[in-house]
Amino acid sequence: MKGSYTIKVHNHRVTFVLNIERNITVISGASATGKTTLVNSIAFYEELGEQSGVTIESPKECHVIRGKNWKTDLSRFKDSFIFIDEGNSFVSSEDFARVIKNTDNYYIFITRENLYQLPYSVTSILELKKSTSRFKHTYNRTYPRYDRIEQLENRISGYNVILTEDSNSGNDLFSYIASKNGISCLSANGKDKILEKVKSIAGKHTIIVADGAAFGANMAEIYKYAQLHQDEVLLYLPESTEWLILASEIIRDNEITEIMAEPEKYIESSDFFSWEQFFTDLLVRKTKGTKAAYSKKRLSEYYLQEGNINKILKTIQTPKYTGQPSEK
Amino acid sequence: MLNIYFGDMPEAIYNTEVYFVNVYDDKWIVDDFAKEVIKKVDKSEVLDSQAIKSPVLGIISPERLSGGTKTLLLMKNMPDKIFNASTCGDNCAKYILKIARERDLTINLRHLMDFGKARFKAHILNDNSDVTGMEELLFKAHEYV
Repeated sequence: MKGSYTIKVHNHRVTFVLNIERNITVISGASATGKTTLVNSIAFYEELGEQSGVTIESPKECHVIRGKNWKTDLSRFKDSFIFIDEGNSFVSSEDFARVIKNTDNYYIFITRENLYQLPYSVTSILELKKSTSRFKHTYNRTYPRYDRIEQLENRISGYNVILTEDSNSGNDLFSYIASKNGISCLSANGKDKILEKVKSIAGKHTIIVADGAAFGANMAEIYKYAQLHQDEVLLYLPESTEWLILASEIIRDNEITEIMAEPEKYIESSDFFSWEQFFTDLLVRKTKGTKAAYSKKRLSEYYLQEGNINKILKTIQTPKYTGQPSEK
Repeated sequence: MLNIYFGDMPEAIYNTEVYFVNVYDDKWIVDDFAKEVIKKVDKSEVLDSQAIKSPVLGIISPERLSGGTKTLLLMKNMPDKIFNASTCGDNCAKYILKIARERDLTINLRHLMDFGKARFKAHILNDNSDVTGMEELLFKAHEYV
């Protein structure tokens, strides 16, 4: 499946409106926002159809998976929205991740746990909130859990360190940007080690750079740390380094332009487990055999040329996503 | 005193939703703690032991309370059991601390719960250490979940 969708689930008392953009969505947040009511309503509809009293407006079928027969149940569904409520421990297993990889369903998880086996985006972590209530009918809608948008470039000068999640091409790029601004760039050597690394340099004003497209499982803890140190730590989470390069229009290509405008229309979930993988594939494919040939391990000098780095900096000024913590 | 075990804990009740429905007692619903939790977390009013007035769902049975409230009521009323507190949102955290002020409470956490800005004390069973606030708890959660 590819594309972004709106799903409406309602009965005579409550309407849920969900905006789903990617193959993996996590709905978390406070208790008593209707998460389990939502899943139970879908299960009632699945069992009884319109005779359940539930109405579902969805361009694809909606199904609920639960319990020990999850694998058998899942094998019956294709091109569908699959909902899984909390209390189903299989969602954090490697087996589950292996089974859903390369499937054409979109998965919506109700959980607060970090699903490390799944590459989900920070923008795909949602929470349900009441949007309106009128005539004894309540409308609950999904909102991004991490929603503050900030610009990065203008703020680089106020920081001492840029900390990247690993030591590959992303670190090459931000090392160059850091050196241009007279600050240092460090690698955490893995997104799981960012927290230890930023703690080890506590006191230094730090910009944490990570690939937002696959950072969902790490977000809660990093976000909380940044919230506790909000005068000191800034999160900058573009989809990925490859997204940053593609969005900067360094590679002139009509197909890239069309894809970057609405990537959800092009990223087939059965081909790509995360958007990060898609953007890497696209950039490698479009630059193969050229002077801009892209390697994830080491960034070509081509991208560090004055004109190209300025294009990247301009993109950073208006990023798709940064998560600057705010007190909730 | 609050005791926290992070990560997989086989002896903890993981699916508190199902467990609550099958074990709860009517009298749990009408005590002062339950009334307060149901009012503050679920925004609902206890009418009697089998009827709760929800502003969204109308008159409901205790079985339709939120997952977080169900888990809190299990923690309060079944002190010999350990429950998966990751079925509780951050809006339940103050009530976990409230139970733990009155007696020892052990919970199983599989995510970083936000206990708020104020200092609190918790014992981490994974490494037999103590924490006194969110920053310390954050690093324990990072280590074990």
